Amino acid sequence: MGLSKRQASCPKSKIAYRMVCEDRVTGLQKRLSFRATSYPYGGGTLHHYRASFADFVSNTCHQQKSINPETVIRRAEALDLSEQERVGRLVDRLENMKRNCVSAGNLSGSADTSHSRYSCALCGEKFTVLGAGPAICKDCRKHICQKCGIEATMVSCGSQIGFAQNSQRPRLFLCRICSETREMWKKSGAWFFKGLPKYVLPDKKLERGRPRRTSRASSWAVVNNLRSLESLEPDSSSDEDAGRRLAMSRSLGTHEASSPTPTLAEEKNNRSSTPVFGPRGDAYSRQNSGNAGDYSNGLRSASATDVGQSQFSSTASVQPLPSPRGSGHGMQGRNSGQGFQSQFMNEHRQTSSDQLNSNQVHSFRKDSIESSSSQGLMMLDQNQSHSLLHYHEMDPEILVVNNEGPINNQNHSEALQQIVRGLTAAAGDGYGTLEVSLLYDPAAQYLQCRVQRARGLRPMDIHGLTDSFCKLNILPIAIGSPSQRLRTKTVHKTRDPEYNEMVTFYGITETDMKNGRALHILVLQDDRAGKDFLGEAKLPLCQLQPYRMIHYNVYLENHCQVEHEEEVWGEDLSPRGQILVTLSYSTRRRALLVNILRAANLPAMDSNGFSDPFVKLYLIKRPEDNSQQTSGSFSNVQYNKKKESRKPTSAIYNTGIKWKTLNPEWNEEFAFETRLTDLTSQMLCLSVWDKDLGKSNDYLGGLILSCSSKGERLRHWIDAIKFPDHRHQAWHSLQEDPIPTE
Amino acid sequence: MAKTYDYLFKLLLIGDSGVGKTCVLFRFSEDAFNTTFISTIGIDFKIRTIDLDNKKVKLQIWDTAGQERFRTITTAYYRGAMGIMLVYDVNNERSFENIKNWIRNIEENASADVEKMLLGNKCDLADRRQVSKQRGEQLAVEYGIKFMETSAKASINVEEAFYTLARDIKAKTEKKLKEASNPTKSGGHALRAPEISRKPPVWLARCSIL
Repeated sequence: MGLSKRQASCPKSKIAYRMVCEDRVTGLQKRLSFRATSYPYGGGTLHHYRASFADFVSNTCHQQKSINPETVIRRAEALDLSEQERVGRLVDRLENMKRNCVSAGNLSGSADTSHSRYSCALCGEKFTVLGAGPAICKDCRKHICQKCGIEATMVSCGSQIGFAQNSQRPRLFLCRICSETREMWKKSGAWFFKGLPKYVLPDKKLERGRPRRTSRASSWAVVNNLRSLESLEPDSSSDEDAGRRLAMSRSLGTHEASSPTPTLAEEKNNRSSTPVFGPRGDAYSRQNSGNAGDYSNGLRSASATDVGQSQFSSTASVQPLPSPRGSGHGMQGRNSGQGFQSQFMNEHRQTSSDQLNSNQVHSFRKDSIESSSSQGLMMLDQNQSHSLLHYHEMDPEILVVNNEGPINNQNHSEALQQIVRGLTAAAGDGYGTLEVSLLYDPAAQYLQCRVQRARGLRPMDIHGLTDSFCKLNILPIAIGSPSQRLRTKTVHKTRDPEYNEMVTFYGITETDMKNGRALHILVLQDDRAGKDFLGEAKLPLCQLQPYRMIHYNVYLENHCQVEHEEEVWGEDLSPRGQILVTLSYSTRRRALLVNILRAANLPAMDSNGFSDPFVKLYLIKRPEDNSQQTSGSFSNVQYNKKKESRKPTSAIYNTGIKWKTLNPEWNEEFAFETRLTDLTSQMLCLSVWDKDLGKSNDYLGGLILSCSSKGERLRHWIDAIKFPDHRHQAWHSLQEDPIPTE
Repeated sequence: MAKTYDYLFKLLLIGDSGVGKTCVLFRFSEDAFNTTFISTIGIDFKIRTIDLDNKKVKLQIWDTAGQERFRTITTAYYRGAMGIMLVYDVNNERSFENIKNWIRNIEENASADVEKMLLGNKCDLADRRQVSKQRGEQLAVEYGIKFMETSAKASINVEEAFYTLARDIKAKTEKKLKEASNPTKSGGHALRAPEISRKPPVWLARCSIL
């Protein structure tokens, strides 16, 4: 291929005509192939050659500049951005108006019209007897004065049909806000998209550097209160298809924002190396090839730093240094080959999201240098994944920046894409850390473990919180001997749980200590619907010395499979069995397709040792609420459901019955017609039943997938929403609690 | 500050390969014409801002490849389109017959609210005509959409076509707004009699105090 040769010859060519379709290629080839080879690689000639090629292409392609789809997409993205800004300006304008009007509080609420009857709802002017009387806004029914009212016929909402019949009524008013709302509804394209398209709020000069609260309520929004969460994301999808707008419920944002728990706002972790745990007394060096050490994240505030995070027995020094390369997005720090025994902690605790400053990026580096090295010195690099929403809080600013520098656009959006990807990938190996103190007493033959706290666990629910507990066991165990596993209490709703609990293993002999056994600590999410894995730590017992308390601060790692998993850790696998489900939202059919593939290890319900399972599934509106709702409180669900209109949003489906099996394969697909944006407020309820003839069916297990699920179930659901038209398949454990039924 | 505009309409041109979608667009956006045939690769778009009733309307017009092999790419763009131009070649019977398929394609992929319009392109070539104007009109009536015969080469009706489509969309915004705004506010969506009738007593009461 002459063309490709040519490209090889000038790889840096800005002219990226890489994707030229075949028929055109053949045309180009004829003229180019011989020329391409005849040109040497030299700079001058190359340039000349490039120019001639450009000429040629532009001649042939009659100024069709964008041959390359990439450039088309880039142009489209740029346009989208400017459009988003424009819509943002409209939104901002409207919100300003709302803020400035007198009865700001009343506008959203409706009831209290009595006291506003005598004064204008907008400007507060009293209606005098002699003056012109109040008018009533047609939309919001507020009393407004003549100045604030705009005669509806003048507003060009005059679709003739609508007003023809109204024309007998002499005066129809719209208050300024309502008319502005209408205008914006039209201008933003919301009329078409049935909701406000994504937008970027304009950057205020005064508030420069302060991320606008993106979870701002727009009370006027019509049909769906949902706003696309994607709107806060970078334009990551090259596909600018507006219909694929992925929506997340607004409540996400607000919940998160109002969450009192301080959340860690570290940068995404691109750690390439895993924490090392070696024999005691060693020093650990750690070289981060990527960007681990120096985290320049957009945090800038004194209160944002939390010195006390260093949990070492030694002293920690904290040095905030502004990064020399304060880049637009705090992603590129580099710190390679730091000396031994240095540890980087970047626990930037975000006390208030308002303190995020992404415009003036300063980077903080906190080096906690541990001077007195104790045994079991651990590298600590706290950089687990963000809770879902923190990225989004930062993004709008970045988007604005993008627009100012369109050339940077690509880099930014790539970086942002990475963030988003990292988010979905649960940030690689960022399991967080665990602090434990161990004390071995050879005389009494016990091992005392003080499980102090974990830090930076992975978020498990939609609010980015976790309900964790630890399971401890000394492995490997002798087969047949009773497992000694112990557990701590559950600490709810935090990613930085303080267990502070003492558990003791008795009957540990000195030979046990020497023969290479290790204390394994599993951190798990406490959820009735299945124990999600949060991390595991292994502490070799041979490091311990009698009567000497050793403090460990270790990284949590991926689960280490051991033999006889079930005996060791107990029935982590749900006793109710598992089910394999595929979710995919079809934008073409506008339906959620649920494929029930198969189930495994179902409990036996019939006397023959089998069950006759079938699955009942339906999609209903998730009860409003309630951060409180654990997936266990189904009585609550049922109650709410009865209270609210109990219309299932779709039909109830049943799979076929598979007779006499505990591992049925259905492979049946069901379509629930719904809108993608509604999925955030809906939940998919699956329940597996044992068909019994002549008596009522036995309940085998259930599964709920929704935004209030946790762990893997949440991820599965979110993935299905975020990436429509893809099949998302996952195994889920069935839970014992009954699923709300019709 | 960027050029401001009041509306952004996203339009889409679809039709068989070679009917002149790109040329129509080229005529509209740059008022030029080129006889060379270069099939569009995947997708492209052009922008032109027009003036409708003193409102600046920015048109982002997506030009799709007619070839079947790009279908997956092009259909992805249907959904965001507010208006779709169906283009056929009056000298090509086949492209006219295929309009039915394109319409089906729209129904499957585009938003239900999309505004459609039918264009019979290349109407300047009278001697080679295969599809009469009547047939085009009839088809348009069948689908309840507007129809125009255009020629990108002779610059016939191209402006008009896009203006018409944009105007229709703009009219639709207002219609939609009416539908949407009524259920918007929970308080009052219809003018209720009680509210009206309650007003006089208030005034009367005040008067009596006076």
